[in-house]
Amino acid sequence: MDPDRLSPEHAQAQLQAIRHLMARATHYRALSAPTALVAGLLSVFAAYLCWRTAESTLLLPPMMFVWLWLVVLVIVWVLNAYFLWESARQRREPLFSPSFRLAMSSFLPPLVTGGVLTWWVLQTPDILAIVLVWNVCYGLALLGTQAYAPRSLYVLGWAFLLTGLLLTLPYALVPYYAVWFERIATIAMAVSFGGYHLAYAVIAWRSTAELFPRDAARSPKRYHASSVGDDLP
Amino acid sequence: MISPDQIDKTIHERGRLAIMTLLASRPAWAFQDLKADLKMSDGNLITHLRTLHKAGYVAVTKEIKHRPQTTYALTEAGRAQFQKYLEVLEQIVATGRQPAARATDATLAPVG
Repeated sequence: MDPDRLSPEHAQAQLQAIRHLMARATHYRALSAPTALVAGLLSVFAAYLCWRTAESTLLLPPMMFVWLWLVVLVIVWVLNAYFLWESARQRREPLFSPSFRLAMSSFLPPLVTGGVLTWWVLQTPDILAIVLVWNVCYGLALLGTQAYAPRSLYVLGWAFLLTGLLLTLPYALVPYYAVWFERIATIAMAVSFGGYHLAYAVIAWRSTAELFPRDAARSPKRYHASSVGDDLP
Repeated sequence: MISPDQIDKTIHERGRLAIMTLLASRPAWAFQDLKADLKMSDGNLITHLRTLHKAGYVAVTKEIKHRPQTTYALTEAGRAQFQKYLEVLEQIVATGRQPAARATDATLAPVG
């Protein structure tokens, strides 16, 4: 496009194309590292409570199980909203930025599906099926953000999805609902929502430091080699 | 009035503008990722990157992790110039929203 002929309409179209390309290419971490840390710790604690309750009552009441994890979910959501707001404030962006809306549009369908399926599964006291649904739906929600999320979120999504799919194995092996299914469900929650989130928190913290090499931004001379040809592939 | 001279011609070219936009969106990009995202040929992409590098807008880093990898990042000058380019575009758009200014601004009128 010739700069001499740049009309306001062309400039507007150019700006829109730039915004679109940037929104698509910007890494958006919908799950912050501090949130993942808290989610991981709370999940391990909630799983421990479920384990102790199952020991004393033999069968874990499904409603109690769901309510306990709902409390964890609400705490984590409120915290995540705070951290995202804080992060957006530091970048001088609104919380409901195009990236946030894009992330929500990817996140919501699997999460709503998970909620409805939980209600449906609750008609039978099958806690393992609930855990299966949560892992699969959360995994799909995370994978839905892969186009603009960092690789660690993509890996996290696959970890949840595979865990959920693995939880179909007990149903294939045993033709009835065994008591130990609940133990597996509790362990799966501790490993996935607890362990995976903790691992993600560590990776996210480390990669944030690696992704923003201050030298590259502040000392361009170090990277800006004088010989052009030698630096290109 | 916005003069055409205010438009950075190095950035303004379509391919290079796309490269600058992507580089502005993340701290660093691997060559292969840039190529995949922009769907450019190796030769085309290298030519544009050389031009931007020569202008001092793009920094190049060669590393050997598991295999040799070349990454590209905006320099401070590149980021500033890109920001300036966006501001000029915004000014042109703003000028277009003022009917009186638009009528008198011959340099911005579409030609042909």
